[in-house]
Amino acid sequence: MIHESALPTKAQPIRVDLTLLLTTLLLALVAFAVLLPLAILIVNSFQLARPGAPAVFGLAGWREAVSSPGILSAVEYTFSLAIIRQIIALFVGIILAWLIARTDLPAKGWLEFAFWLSFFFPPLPLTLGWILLLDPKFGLINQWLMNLPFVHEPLFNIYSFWGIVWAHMTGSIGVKVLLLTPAFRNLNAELEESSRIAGVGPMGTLFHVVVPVMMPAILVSTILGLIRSLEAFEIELILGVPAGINVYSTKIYEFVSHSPPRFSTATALSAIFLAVLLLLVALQRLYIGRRIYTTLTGRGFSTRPIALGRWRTPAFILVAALGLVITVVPSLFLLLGTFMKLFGHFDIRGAWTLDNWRHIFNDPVLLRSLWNTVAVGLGAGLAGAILFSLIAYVVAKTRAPGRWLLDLLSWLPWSIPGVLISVALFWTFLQTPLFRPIYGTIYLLIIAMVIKSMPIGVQLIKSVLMQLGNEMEEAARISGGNWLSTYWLIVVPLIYPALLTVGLVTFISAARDISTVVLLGRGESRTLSLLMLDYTVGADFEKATVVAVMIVALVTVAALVARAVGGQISVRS
Amino acid sequence: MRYSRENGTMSTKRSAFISGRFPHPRPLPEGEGWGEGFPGQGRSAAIHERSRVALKVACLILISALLPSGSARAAQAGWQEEWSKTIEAAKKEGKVVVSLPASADLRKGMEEAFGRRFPGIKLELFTARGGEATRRIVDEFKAGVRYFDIHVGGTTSVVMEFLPENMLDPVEPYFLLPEVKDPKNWWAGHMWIDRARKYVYGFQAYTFANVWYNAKLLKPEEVLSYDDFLNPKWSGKIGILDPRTPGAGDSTWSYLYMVKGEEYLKKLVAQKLLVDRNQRQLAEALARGKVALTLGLTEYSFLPFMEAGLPVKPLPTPREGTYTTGGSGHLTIIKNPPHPNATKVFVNWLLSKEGQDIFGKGLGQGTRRLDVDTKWLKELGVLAAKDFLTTEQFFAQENQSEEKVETVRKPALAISEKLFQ
Repeated sequence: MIHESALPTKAQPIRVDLTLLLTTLLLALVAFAVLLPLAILIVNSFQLARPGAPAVFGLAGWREAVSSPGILSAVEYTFSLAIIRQIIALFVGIILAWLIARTDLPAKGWLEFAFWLSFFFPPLPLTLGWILLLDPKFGLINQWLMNLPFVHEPLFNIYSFWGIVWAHMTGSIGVKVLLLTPAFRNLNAELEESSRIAGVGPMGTLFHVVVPVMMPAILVSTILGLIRSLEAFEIELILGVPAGINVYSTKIYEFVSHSPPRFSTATALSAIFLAVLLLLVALQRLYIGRRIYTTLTGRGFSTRPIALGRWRTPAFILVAALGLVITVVPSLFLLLGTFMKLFGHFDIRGAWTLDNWRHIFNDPVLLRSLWNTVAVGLGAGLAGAILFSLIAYVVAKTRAPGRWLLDLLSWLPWSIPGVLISVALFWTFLQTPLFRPIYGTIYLLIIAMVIKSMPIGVQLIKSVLMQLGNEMEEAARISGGNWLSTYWLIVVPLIYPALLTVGLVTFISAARDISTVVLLGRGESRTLSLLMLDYTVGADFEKATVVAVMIVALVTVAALVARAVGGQISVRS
Repeated sequence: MRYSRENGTMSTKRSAFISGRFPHPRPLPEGEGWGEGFPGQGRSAAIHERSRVALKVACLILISALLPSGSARAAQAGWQEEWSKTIEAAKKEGKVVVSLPASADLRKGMEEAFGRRFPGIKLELFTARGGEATRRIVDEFKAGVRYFDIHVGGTTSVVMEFLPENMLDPVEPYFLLPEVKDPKNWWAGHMWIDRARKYVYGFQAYTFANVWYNAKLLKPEEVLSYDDFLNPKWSGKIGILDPRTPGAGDSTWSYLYMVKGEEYLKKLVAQKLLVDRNQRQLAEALARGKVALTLGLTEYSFLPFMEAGLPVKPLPTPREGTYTTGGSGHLTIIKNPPHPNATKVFVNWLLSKEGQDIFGKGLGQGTRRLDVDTKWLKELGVLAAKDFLTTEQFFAQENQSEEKVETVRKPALAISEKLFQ
């Protein structure tokens, strides 16, 4: 291990200093970027003064948060929805990631790509697509089924607990495949081969050998997924509110969208979330502890895929059908919607039109919005990949004091629900003189996006780094390399696919973001997502769908480029 | 509601929101009449002489009436000169930053027309939902960041957030063009939303159908009063835009509270309302016949459904009337705007015939400017106040002024939070 020696020797003084310097710098940077917004939010949870009045501090916000009508049922729904979704998505996600990464499943590259795509989908058109199919009154699937002689009432109701779970499946499974597949790829096939030699079948190998070894990646993806489920918002708003299902995040939205916004109550409520998150992170650290999860060492590495044998075709049909249902069907609806006069109405006069596309192409701000989206996405993706990999490296590969703190801090941007983190970052940038020179510029948007994507980026790279044995780095050190050259020449090439994925995820988050751009952007830094908002608010839903398709197309291109480049440099070659 | 067509009639019983200067006949004070005759009658020569003088004076008056007077000419030259100087100064400032309601049509219309009219002044538009924009503007103002010049939008967030912060400039000093300054060009004169009558200028006034029905499920004569909503027949068949968030759902709910009271609202909620926060989705529910009636949706949500020939129609206004509003047509100027001259140019352009026409078309709302055609809005279920309302009707039924936000909207919101748990 490169940084084992806590006491600097004469031979390696610079290395140790550099590590400490790097850790200190990163700690200072992350603490500043993360703790300051959090502190500002927490202070605001006690701030009770009305606009224009001098500050008054008290506990009324907290009291209202815990005694607000319906809060108990909201918390109950929040946790039950999140846990059930994670159980289903995890089970399906592990099998999919394993089939894609470890077996000879046909067309697995394309299948993986299909699941990636599902993660990019904007939730609004996706949910409306499912409503069109599964609404109890007019849902197409319900209507088809009711033509059957033995079906007398609608079988599905999208406005229900299970409807919400279903609508989330596209994103939940997509993100699991996205996060788990790179980690599964780095598994040395020798482990599976040993299991096979011992007479264990493919599924037995998966659950008794692969899953335990993959635990860091699985845990991280579960916790990330759980946190994301807890703060999920748009689908709950569309499907839950009409069914009387309120969740914690819709409650927070309610407080924030008041005029004037009730930040004290919203931030107090989000403190509950912070506590849950810290508990989950602590549990994860406790579980992983000092166990060893190295799967990739310098001693030879085999990635020979497992032959599925007679299960190959059925497995392919199953995975392809799932990909079809959660990705292709919504994609088709999204695309069809752009050519429809009225989304989902096939039986009206002149149902099909090119006007929506024509209109968007004639919008004078289209090009500028497109350019801004690309610039913010690329900037955040690149800066994020560098910063996150450095943080993950310090956390997973050094023994620098304070690395546990760095790990913990890197989780915190997700401890605040999306609707509040944008406000917190806005307040932070506004009140910090350091940021004044770049306030309102595209650079501040990039910084905000990097902070928002920090948990997923750091944790994804960390889980891959934990699979990386120390031999190669030690060899590099013996050959006279310092940590920087080791990091750059050994670690980066090995984790390149994960870095690309992280850069891509950051790019996508930036391309889809609305709340941060609204608070930090200016007229000239308008992005495609704001253009979509213009059309959505103006009831021009079909035109908004055109912009949504453009966003999806943009991230698809980015994903294709990332995959093409990753395929050439990845560890597998 | 039976509105009378009193186009342009002004009431002498003025509301607190109208600043005076109406052209209504004023009785002359006693002793100022002309009916007493002239002293010294019978002195014919003198009379003759006086007649000649009087004739000359009359001619002069006639000529001066036909030609602009010296002072009027000076005034005209004055404003033109000031206007030219302002435009030049605005060009040096380079841009004006305006926060507008999110709408693609409005944004495109404004950018194109303003750019054409004032080539050297960039119109930088910031479009967002009301609450998001006002929150940002307030926080920037408090932190000393000077970016926004103007905010145009609804009143709730402006009244609740801008006014207490004392962060607005009086609007009227920014009026420069005579056509904008002159209250005679505006239905009901100049109209203010705030109690101080100088910070929030309302340039629109209209009412609109906020109850819509599905013609396959309901006959309009079945619902003539808001009490008819309580008929058990409509249980589970009424949709409402969530009144807990600002918007037309909140406005409709507040109006029901205003005219029917809290007990009525309790009974209404007992009708198993379909509560939704997504306008499109609620409109879809009506078009598909999932509900028979919707409350709080604007005509804009139904436009694509009407164009597609689906059976959605505005319900004739129930007996108790409906609320009147200025919609998103409220102009505020942030104190000490960073581009004061460009702000002046934009304000005068926005309130010009062209600006009002584009704003009204962009959002489907009715201006108060008398020379802008608003009759076409009727097709959308929107009745511009200047075409269909008297000022008494408008002010009796509005629920968006500073006073009404305090006395009506706040208690109505508290009730909605209690009832929709």
